[in-house]
Amino acid sequence: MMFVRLFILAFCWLTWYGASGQSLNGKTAFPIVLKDPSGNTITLESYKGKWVLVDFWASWCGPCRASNRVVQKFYPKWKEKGIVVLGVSLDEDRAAWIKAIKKDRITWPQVNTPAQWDSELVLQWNVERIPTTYLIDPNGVIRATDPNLGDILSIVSKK
Amino acid sequence: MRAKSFSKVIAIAVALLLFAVSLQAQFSQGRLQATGLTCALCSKSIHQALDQLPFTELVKPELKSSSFDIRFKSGQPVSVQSIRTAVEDAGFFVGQLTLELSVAAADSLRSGNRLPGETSVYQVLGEWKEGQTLQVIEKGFLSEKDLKRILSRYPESQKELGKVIYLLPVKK
Repeated sequence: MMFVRLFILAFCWLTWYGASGQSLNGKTAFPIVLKDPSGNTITLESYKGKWVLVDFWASWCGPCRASNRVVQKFYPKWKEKGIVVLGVSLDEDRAAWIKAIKKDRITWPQVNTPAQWDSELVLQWNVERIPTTYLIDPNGVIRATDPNLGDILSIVSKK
Repeated sequence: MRAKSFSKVIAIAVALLLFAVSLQAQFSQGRLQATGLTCALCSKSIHQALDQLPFTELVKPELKSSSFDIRFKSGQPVSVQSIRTAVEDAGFFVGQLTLELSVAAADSLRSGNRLPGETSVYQVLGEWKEGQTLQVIEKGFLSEKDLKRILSRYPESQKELGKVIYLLPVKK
């Protein structure tokens, strides 16, 4: 009887664990090598030594556009503290992506991966919805998933 | 005798046409508005669920109308109930579903107001004009309030409620 109970418990835990997905916190960030709107290649690797907020978004995602406006407000302050924002758009429509960058007056680096949910990068980074953001430390380790504004500054100042 | 065989030919032709329509997709594309507590366009689950349906070819988010544009495969019948199930299993609800007729279905609508479906018959409410899209008027495909409001305009629909899936022509 005890064994059956244990088995059921283990089964429940496994299904819950499997369904909830694994957190990427503490893992080394996956490489990002993509082009910006001007066609220049940008790599996540090149920001090593700095804090990077990787922001997955798309022009067709309303909440992402709202978040762009918030980041725009805070970006000058973050820049002073050595935090870089890297926007990764899932837009298939390149023109729509570039239009959104202009409209939201985005000044931080932007790259695009036009395969949406089935792109290898999106699967690797475990992006299930957008916006999804990851805070990467100067050693290239993922330190937080979807941090709020307060989290970002407190994690960075703690180091 | 002649008239009899002629009507037979017509009957066979109509049957063949209906058969052809039922084998092909009745609809070429659709636009789905999903509702829920979070942004439906921004969730992988709903996109994936629609993408995995056997009769969808392409699913694309459309920001302006905050809906999904769905292109259907030409050789597969479309099941609107499967679309609803996919959306609900992903944790959302269908707010509105409009469909565009395939060429074969448009042909058969010119001679009547019914279309064969996979599990039930589609019936057009009122008059369908060339080029109009059709909104699915059925429980779970729009708000209860809108469903009641629209059906009350078509008293004949009350008799067959649940037996057929109603389609309302909408201006493009």
